[in-house]
Amino acid sequence: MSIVLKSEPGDSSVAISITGRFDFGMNSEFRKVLNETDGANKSFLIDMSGVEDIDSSALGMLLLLREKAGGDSSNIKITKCRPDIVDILKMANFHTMFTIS
Amino acid sequence: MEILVAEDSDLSRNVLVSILKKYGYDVIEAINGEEAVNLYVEHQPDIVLMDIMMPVMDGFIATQKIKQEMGDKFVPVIILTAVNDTDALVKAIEYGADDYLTKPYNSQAIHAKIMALARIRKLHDTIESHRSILEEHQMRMDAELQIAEHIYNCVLNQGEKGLSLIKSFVKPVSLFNGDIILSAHNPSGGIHIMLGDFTGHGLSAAIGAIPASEVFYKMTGKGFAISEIAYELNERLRHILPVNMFCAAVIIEINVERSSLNVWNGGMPDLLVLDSNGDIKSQVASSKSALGIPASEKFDRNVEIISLDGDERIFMCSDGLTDVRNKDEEKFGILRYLEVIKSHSKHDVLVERIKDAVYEFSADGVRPDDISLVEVSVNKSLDSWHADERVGDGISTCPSSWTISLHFEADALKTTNPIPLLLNFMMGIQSIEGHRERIYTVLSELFVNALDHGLLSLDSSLKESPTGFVEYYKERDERLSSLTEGGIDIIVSHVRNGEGWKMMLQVIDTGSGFDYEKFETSLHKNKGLSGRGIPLVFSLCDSLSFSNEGRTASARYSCDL
Repeated sequence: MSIVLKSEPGDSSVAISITGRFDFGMNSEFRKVLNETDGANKSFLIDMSGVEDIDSSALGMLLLLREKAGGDSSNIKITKCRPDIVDILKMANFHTMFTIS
Repeated sequence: MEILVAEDSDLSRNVLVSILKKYGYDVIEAINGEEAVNLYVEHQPDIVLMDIMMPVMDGFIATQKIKQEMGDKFVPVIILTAVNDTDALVKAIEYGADDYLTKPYNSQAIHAKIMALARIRKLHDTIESHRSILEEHQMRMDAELQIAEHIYNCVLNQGEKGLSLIKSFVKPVSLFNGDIILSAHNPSGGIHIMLGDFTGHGLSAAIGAIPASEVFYKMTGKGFAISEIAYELNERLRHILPVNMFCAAVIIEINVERSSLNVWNGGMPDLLVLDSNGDIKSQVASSKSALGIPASEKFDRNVEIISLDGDERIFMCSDGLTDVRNKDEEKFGILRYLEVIKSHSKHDVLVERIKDAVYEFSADGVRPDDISLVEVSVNKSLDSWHADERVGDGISTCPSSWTISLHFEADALKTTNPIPLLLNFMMGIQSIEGHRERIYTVLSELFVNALDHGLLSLDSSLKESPTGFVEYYKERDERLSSLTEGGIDIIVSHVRNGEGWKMMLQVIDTGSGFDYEKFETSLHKNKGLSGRGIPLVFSLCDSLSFSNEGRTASARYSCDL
């Protein structure tokens, strides 16, 4: 399991790719990634193709990212989710806060 | 460093002592085992060198006694033996010795061995001191957890205990449950039930449960609707919880008198309603964000309304139930959950069946989160549907005469339900204990009647079919949001009339009125017509009459306080 952050200083878009089980075990790694990016005025692209499972603390981490990226004015795309993960995100109504594809 | 040397031979001892002193160690000398034990107790040296064959007490016994004496401490005991005496060596280790030195002595080997053992001893001391710090922390933590658990349970259980129609199965991962099940009667005879699931589990998840349950119980008791309770819970939790924590929740109101089930589902697995045949009649998926996430203006207050026949079962669960995994890391999942429900739907207590199935499935697997499952039996004939009539608790306020008059314009009607507030205001003037639920019912039915049929001109015959029921409420929402004029007056007077005190309740709307004479006639003939509300009011009051072309409803209620 890991989180890889791809962005150069000055880039307007940040790509994050997550693999493995996206749960509490990823908390400190995710927070580290959050600290490395300044968030504001950026768009985020989260590649979830390698995510096998997701729990509520992962949903919490996504909310932290959203807050950092400007809350309602944030631009975060969550992509390549497996169907069962899309279901979980929809159950939490996350499709109204993030762009999910 | 202080070293105890036990050796009966003066020659041997003197050689050893002089080597030790050369390396700068302090030395204590004993000439037999017994003296060694006594000196150990007196001086508490850092290392012991022990000969085996000695008068009075041999080295085996002395080693054993010294080891007993040191308890949790670690003081290395090094046995002094001849090169070829392995039997004695093994025996000494069995008696508790840690290492050995062979005679004749080599001064460098002695020094090296002592340094090595001193290092082990230091390591042991470090671990030991950490262990005792941890033990102390653990004890303090346990004590604090016990207190917290007590408070947690008291706060969560302040509602009505053991409503017989609710069966539940709860399995927390740790001492504290991040899932909460709350239930209480509201003043109009309905029941509110909430199943909430806080992010994570354990103490941090449980902390949010305390304010949430306070809001739930207080607002339910005051007669607020579940949409208003959900809104308030969201506000409260949004302010106190960190951004990454929230509470997924399903909140329902069951009102058997009105044959309705209202559901607000934010982030929980589907709520299921089974009909009397055990078939799934309705399934309410989450359509809202969990509590504690959306900003006030984005909060979705809409509830799903389902009509009830009076013989149904309702199921709610937390995702901890569908997330349990077997040894192959496979999830139990919603499909298996539905399968168990379908195949055992005739069973009396389905909760037990589902629990067994989950346990069997995850026998060698993991249950990563708190598990909660709630089954509610809707049965019109059950006593527990009717709110306990609270008997006056001895506070006898003298009855007095007063009148409250309230006026609401269209814009106020869109956002406010004045009845709970009015009731609380009345309670402030006059103790109406024992009548509270009834007066609440009368007032809210008359208010709803004035709003729905008076101002919004809705036709209640729509409600007769299950689909019409839902359509009715959809239509109601639409008409209410486009309402621009009109208003409702509520006038409540407490007056002495003849022998006793009466509550005179008047609700007046500015709508177009209705054919109240025909309505009143049918009311007398038939109590089972579609408008269940008004016949109920009729049965609770001394009198109920309409005037002003149906725009004014006047009820007289006897309350001998």
